[in-house]
Amino acid sequence: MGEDDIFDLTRKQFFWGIAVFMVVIAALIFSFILLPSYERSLVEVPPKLRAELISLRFVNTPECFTYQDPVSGRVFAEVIDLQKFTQKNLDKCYRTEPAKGFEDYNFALELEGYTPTLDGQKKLLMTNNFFNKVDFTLYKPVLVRNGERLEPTRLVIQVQTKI
Amino acid sequence: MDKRGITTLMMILEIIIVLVAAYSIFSIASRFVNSETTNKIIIADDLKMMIDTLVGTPGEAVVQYPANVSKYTFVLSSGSVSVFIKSEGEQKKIVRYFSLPDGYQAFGTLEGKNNLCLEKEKKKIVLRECKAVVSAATEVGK
Repeated sequence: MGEDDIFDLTRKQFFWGIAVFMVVIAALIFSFILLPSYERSLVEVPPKLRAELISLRFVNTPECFTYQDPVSGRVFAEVIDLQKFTQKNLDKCYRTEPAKGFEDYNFALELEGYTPTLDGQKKLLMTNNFFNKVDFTLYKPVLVRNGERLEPTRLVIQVQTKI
Repeated sequence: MDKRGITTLMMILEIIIVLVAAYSIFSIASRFVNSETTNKIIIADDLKMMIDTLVGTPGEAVVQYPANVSKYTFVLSSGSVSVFIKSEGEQKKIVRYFSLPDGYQAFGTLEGKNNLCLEKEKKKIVLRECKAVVSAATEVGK
């Protein structure tokens, strides 16, 4: 074996050392980064759709704010009972886990024209883990039952998807 | 050992390394393709959204899941829905959490049935196998 042959062998070993390292790195990236992100993209649900579905209860469920006729028991969808539009009722209607609920959807609600102002700031109804990080806002046209009157307005729903 | 012997040995080594790398990448990919995890996540997310929709629906309603779910087992409780395959381990169970208004209850289990229904009855949401619906026309035909 000549001097050139020894160098050739060493060069190859060096090359394969680097190549094996690169292949291992590529396999790790493939299995721990590319595949999980592809999997996430397959199962992803648009956040606005999730928020829309959760917030249906704010306008359609009598246990939340929706007006229900006390005699017939009929529920008037998309009619907000002003008497029910309170923080206490929101807490009964939608509540996330106290410790980790900030990872879930949280909401702040404003009934346009009916939300009181305190020190120049609107006093919104907030779910228990809403921390003013607004990702997007939903608007729902509703009727407000104020005494015997029905008045059209909008329910503004600020959505915090995750912190 | 002469130069030809070393070159042949290195070539065999190269081929083995390439084969091992290719096999490991393909096995990861095929395990991923055959995995039921994606399906379980999709079904669990769908059920969570169906429950949110039922809560936001005045009156009573029934929704049928539009796919064959006979491979899976479902457990619905008042705070979560779980989807899993009975033969798989606990760590492969997919759980989705939701919040129900006060006074609402959700419950039900289903295993090895083709179809799944979620039914809202007053303040109860029940997960069960779909009942056969007999239409009025069929009744008249009898």
